[in-house]
Amino acid sequence: MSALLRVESLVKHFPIRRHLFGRQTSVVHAVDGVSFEIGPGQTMALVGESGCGKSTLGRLLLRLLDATAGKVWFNGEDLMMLAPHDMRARRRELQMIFQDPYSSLNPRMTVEQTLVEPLALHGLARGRHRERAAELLDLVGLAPQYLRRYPHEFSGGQRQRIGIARALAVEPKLIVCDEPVSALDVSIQAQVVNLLQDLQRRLGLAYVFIAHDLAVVKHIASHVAVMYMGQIVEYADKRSLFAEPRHPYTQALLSAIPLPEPGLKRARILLQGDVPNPMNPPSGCRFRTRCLHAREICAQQVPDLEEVAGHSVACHFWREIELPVVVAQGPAANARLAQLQSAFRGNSA
Amino acid sequence: MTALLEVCGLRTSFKLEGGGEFAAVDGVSFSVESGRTLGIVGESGCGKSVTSLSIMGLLPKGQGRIAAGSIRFEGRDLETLTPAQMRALRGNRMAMIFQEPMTSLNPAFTIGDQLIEGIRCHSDLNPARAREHAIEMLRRVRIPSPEQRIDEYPHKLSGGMRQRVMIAMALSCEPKLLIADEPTTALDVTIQAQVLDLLRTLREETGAAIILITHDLGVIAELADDVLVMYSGRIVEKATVVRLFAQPQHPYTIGLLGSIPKLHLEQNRLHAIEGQVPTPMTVVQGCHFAARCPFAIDRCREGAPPLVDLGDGHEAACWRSPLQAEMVKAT
Repeated sequence: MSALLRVESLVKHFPIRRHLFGRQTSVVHAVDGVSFEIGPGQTMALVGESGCGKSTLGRLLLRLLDATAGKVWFNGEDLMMLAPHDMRARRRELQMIFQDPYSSLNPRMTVEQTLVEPLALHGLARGRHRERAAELLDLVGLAPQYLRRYPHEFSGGQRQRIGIARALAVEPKLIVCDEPVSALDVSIQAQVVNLLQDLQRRLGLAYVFIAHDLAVVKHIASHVAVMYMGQIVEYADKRSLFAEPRHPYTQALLSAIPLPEPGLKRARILLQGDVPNPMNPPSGCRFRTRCLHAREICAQQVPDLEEVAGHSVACHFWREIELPVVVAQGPAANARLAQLQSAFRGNSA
Repeated sequence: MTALLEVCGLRTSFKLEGGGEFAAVDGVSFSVESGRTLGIVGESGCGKSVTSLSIMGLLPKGQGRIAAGSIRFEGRDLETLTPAQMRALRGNRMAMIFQEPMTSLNPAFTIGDQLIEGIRCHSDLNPARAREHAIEMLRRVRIPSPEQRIDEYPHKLSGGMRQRVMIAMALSCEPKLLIADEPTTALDVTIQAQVLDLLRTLREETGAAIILITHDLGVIAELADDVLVMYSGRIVEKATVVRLFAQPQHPYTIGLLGSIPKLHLEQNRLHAIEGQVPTPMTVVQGCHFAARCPFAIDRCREGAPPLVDLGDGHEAACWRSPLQAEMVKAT
């Protein structure tokens, strides 16, 4: 299978200056040597905690930020080498959905104007802009009479649907979704997750799904990359990552999630302290300052991302670390609850 | 045994622009006993935060007011207290932790100044002793090297550390009741796990009652003993945590449990609740959830269902409860 998107050793350093015209004093290593690939119709999730570089990485893919080094191949073409004008044309195939549905829509534009703008820019649906805009609203489950309304008249979930419709307007092949549901309420979050899945099935979209919520990721992703301080520490298809998390950070992350099941017993790995300052990352393995298994070599040598049967992990000792039961299986299925829940049909796209 | 806190028929209303009022919380009753943790769960706008602000007497002046009902704390009706008496109680016998540790600390003062101010307000410790106590509190919430940290400004601390300072501040006078309003929502999961662990330990050490307000059913499952589910300003279900997750009775609770992706189960599709929460201005006849409820019948649109006891202290406000699996039509 040929990859739709292939990322090679992508690096982004942000210079830090003390004063406006001062000399550069240091560098934040926001993204540091990240590589992965995605096939058509797949969902690759980038997970990690705040400041791990996942959003920066998402922006680099669309060249909303310029990378310091590395390559991004899309359909066999190196996006980093394109002239700005050609890159803009290429964004017809690469779109983005943002986290905050309140600030990512222009408050002075009606829904119709918001949806028609990308059509006009790319010369699509000439002469039938309004019909196309109505179709797009229908695709995301909103009524066509909303076309004349302004963003403030909508709830968060509806705005996120408008953001999705805007991204779909140009019929992209890949959408970078930057925390698309984290600002939404639980019941609305489920609607948007279902919508994204339906659209993927119908339109064959590939997603780069940036998220911090591993439960959502487990639900939507086909592949998962776990990031820590700008680097991928573990990468695998969803099934093996959740069944057999190898990196101590992934294990801790999984064990930290409170499960909606009172009394469920499982191993909890409590990490000590906070993420170190990214201006001054630890030597060797960046996770070693919080790692329960760290030894001398971890401070001296950066662990390579080692692949065994499609499951990659960057840890010196992953073969030795015992696999803790971080996600216990739930109790026997609750038949009554499952039956009652099936009455909620979920939203239709 | 009498409850530490008793809220009875609470109705809190807010002024609308252009006159009129709407009730953000309507007819809410519950009680909390010492040593127990009551979880209040619901989505934005369901009234869970307004409930806690009403208890603390922190409703925005001139906009929100308690229109009906009573709040009794340690047997005293809070409405009868003077502002000075209320101030003596607040931060002392009852304390609160807010969601946003960034904005709830004053950036212009060191965390020591802010901690010591609270301690000296409610005790007669001299400055040196108050400082010692503040350092001790920071140590209890596991802030590393508290002797140095105490003289730092809030911006020097990470989000998780700030939340620990907030917890230290809230606990410094050994309150009998701690209200934690989304205490971990702004934090990363690994930091959230640390803070939840801390709250659990402190609860055992101090025996305080906790009201835990959150939208996260996972956090509820971990920490709460009893749970209130709120929707659109009302309590729709009340049960012990085990019963609520195993035998939910209100359709909203059932839908909410079906909406969350679960790490420990295989799911094909989430059971999203269609539609959205009615805005506070909408006048709803009958049950507020009826418009989104697959079990709704005509009666639901005519009159609001009362909270009914279904046995063992499990209460639900639904005309159709107890809900049976057979009530789902096979299609």
